[in-house]
This record gives sequence, C-alpha cells and structure tokens, in this order.
Amino acid sequence: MSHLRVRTREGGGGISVVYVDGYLNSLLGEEMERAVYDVVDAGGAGVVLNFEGTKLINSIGISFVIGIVERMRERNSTLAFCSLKRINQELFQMTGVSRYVRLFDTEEEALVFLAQSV
Amino acid sequence: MSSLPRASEAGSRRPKGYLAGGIGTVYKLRAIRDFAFGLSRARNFDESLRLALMVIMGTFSILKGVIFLEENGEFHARVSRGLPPGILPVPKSKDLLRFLRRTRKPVTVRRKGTAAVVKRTAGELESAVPALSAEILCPLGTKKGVLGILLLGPTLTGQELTPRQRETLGVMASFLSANISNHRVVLEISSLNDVLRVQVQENKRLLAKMREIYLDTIRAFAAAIDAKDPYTRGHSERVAKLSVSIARGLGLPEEDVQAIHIASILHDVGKIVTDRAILVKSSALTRAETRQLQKHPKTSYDILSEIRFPYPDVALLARHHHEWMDGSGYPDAKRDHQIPVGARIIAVADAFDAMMSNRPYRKSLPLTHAIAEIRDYVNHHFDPQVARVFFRILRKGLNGERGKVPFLPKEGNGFSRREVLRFLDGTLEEFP
Ligand SMILES: [Fe+2]
Repeated sequence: MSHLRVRTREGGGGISVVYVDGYLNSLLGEEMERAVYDVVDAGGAGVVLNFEGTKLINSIGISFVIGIVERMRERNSTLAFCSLKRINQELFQMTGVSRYVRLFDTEEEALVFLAQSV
Repeated sequence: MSSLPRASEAGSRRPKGYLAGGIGTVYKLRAIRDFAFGLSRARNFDESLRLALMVIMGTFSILKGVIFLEENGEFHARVSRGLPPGILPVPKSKDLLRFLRRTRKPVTVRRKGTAAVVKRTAGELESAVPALSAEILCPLGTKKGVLGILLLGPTLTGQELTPRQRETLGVMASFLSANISNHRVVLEISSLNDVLRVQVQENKRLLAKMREIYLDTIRAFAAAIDAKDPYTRGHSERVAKLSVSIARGLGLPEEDVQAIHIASILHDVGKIVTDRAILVKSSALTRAETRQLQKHPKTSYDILSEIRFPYPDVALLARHHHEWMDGSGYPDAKRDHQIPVGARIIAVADAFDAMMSNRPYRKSLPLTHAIAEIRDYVNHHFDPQVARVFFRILRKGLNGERGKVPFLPKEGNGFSRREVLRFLDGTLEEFP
C-alpha cells in the first residue's frame, strides 16, 4: 500500500489515537477494527478514534463502528470519537451510536476527557 | 431511525440534491445500494453473505446476527457477526419449518401478540446460539422453497424496529434470498458443466439460463417494491412484457431490448424511499407529497447507476420514464429525441398499465378509454412511433386469444373485443 489510511499514534497516558482516512466501508472498516483491537490487546487504557479524514461512512462502516463500541464496553475500555464531519455526526446520532460514545470537536478535548476518566 | 429528530431538519444548512430527503433517507438509500453492490461485487459467495449481513446490521444498528442456511437437512450458521465461534447446527423441527413456510416477512420476537410458533422457533435458534438473544427472525426463501433464516439480536439502543424499518429489512431479505438461490443454481450448473464437458450448443443453453437467473434477481427486487404498493402488484412485470414487445416491434437491437427489459422491471425502484402513505393515498396529493413522489425516477437512477448491468443505459432509462415529448415531464424536462427511446417506450407501457389497474383513487379504466387517452396525448406526452407500434401489438393480441396478451387483465375492464378492435382500427388510421 502506498499510504496508510489508518494510523495509530500514542496520545500519552496509555491512550492511543487512531486516525481513519477515506471512505469508511468494508475495507477501511476492517483496518480500523484491527487498529483499535491492537491497542486494546496491547493493554492500552483507551482509544480516541479521529474521524477528521473520514469522508463518508456507509452501513458496513457503521457495522464496524458499533462492533467496536460494543467490544470496548464489554472490556470496560474507554473510547471517544473526535473531529467528525457534520454528516457523519448526524449519522452517529441517527443510528444511536452517539448515545454510547462521547463525541468531541477536537482531538485535544477528547484526550483531556479520556485522561480524566481512565 | 425515525424516532430521532431528522438531522437535516435540526440543522441550519440543508444539504443539496437527494440529500434533501433527510439523512435517514440517504442512509437507507445508500444501504440498499451497498447491498446490491456488495452482492454483485463480492469475490465469493461467503463474502457476499458477510457483506449483506454487515449492511443489514449497520443499517439498523444491530450488534449480533447470523445467517443460517439449509444444508443436508439442517440449518447451518454460514456467517455471523458479533458472536463467538461454535454455533451449533439447528435441526429442522416441525415448528421451524412451519414458521418458515408461513412467514414471508421479518417478525419481532419479544412483542405482545407474537405467535407461539415464532417464540418457539426463536427458542430453538437461541439454544444453538446462547450468546444471542433473538429479537428479529427473518425467513429466507423464494417461491421454490425455504433457503434459511436470518437471525438478529437487539439494536444498539434497545429500541424495536419501526414498521418502516421492518419493511426495508424485508426488501433486503428478499434480495438476499435471490442471491442465495442464484448461487445454488450456479453451483448446480457448474457441477453439471464439469461432468458433461459440454459443447458449444450446451453452453449457449447455459448462458441463456444464466441470463434467466440474473433476471430472477432483478425480479425479486422489483417484487419487493411492488409489495410496498399493493395497488401496483405485478405492475413492473406487465410493463416489462409490454415494453419488450414494443422494443422488438420497433426493431431495436437485441442489446437495447435487454436494457429496456431490465429498466422496465426496475423503473420504479426509487419508490422504495417514498412514504408508503403517499403510495396508497386515495385523495389528491399535497404539493409536498407530489414533490416527494416525483423524486422517484431520480432515485431509481441513483440506485441503478451504481449497479453494473451487462447492458447499456439501464439507469438512464429509469431516470427518464416520466419525461414527456413536449418537455412537461420530470425530472429533467427533456423533450422529443432528448429522451432515450427506451424511456419513451416505458412511458407508454407504464401509462397503459396504470390505466388498466385499480388505483387507490380510482377503479381501472375501460380499454377503449385507455387507448383514447394514449392517442390524445401522442406528441404531447407520447412518441407517435412508439404509440403506433403499441396499438399494433394490442390489435394483434386482441385478434388472437385474449389470454395470450400478458399485459391485458384476464377479466374485468368489461370490454367487447369487437368493439375495441373497431376502435383500434379507427385509431390506427390516424397513424400512417
Ligand atoms: Fe414511475
């Protein structure tokens, strides 16, 4: 692959930021899922999913997102989303995802919140 | 979805184009498209099932789900999501078979008034998948028989599906069923092929068979749309038969005839996002309702343009089936030869079948009335060449046995054959 569409960065305090760039469909969804579970399996304290570069999310993408939300809930790992485009934010509201995950405008806000709740 | 406020209503800026229908509509539309997409593009059968399951679960925010398929007298979990491995096969019990034979639509399990057989069926499935609390049972099958069952757990929010959502799920399930059934036939064909080492002649027959299968999938989709609007049941199929006859009568190349065949079956697929209340309304539509209804050709186009058909311009023909010769139609107010010939054909067939059918706001019209209506609107709405071929086909049909004219109702419309023939001859004289 010429460029990574899902990247992970250490955000400090055992919290990782996962960036999801492009069209969140079945291919990107799988990469995102793997990246998040890699963090959790390695004993990470929490994950911020940064959707700034996510142009669109289709129904399969939502399937991956709610799968992650559920798995994180089961493991008592903390999760937050940030930097969503308006249309994706509306989509998360419509599908009920936003009731279970805190959405933040910026990555900094999400990191501050997770650092407090970990 | 519908219990939450529509995002676009709450928002300050309204999105453009078909986004204006509200994000719920777009999402659902996209989901149906993804569905068709996934099925047609998947590398193999299991992947197509997995994608279908994910689209369904994502569309309704469902966490756990499994597709059971009938194999060797049992139901086997073929794909699942959100569940640990090790799902047991489910024996074909009396209850399960009775449920699958009787039920066509998705049912919710935990509800007052849910039939006992549904609850028992859910219990049997749950004992095979202990990690899943069965909320929705969705039978998979075709006219030819039972194929399997789609079992879904609760939604993320714990809310029940709305009737509208169940309807969408039903459409997806019938599409999924067609895909499964086609896969079986293809398997049978390929094993047959291996054994026989068939010659060219045989291959031709198989090719024809493949095309039939392909059309079956398309028909399943159309039937799902017809099901939404009880007044147009069988409409797509009749419009298709008539459109193909006209296309052949005009001497169009076979490729175009096939494109017209598919487009005429699917021309109203966009109605899938029209409110059912509008489709069955018996009084005049309000302005807003008319506007919503008139979006359907554009929506048909949006859906169909994402599917790769083996024939040209299928999506375009659906888009223009409500365009009129004088430019007074929609969505693009095209006129005369700007409208593709296939769309001009579908327009006549569609109008004729609509007049011959009962509608929520009126009974079907007499045959002579329908003929006169088309005659009167030639050049304004209809293409004269298309209309002439249509009248000829009608005459040919009436001269033979009435049962051989598939697009004429078998009974009713109280017409006398002689009278109509005389009327038709008179009409045809106006068309040199
Ligand atoms: Fe239409």
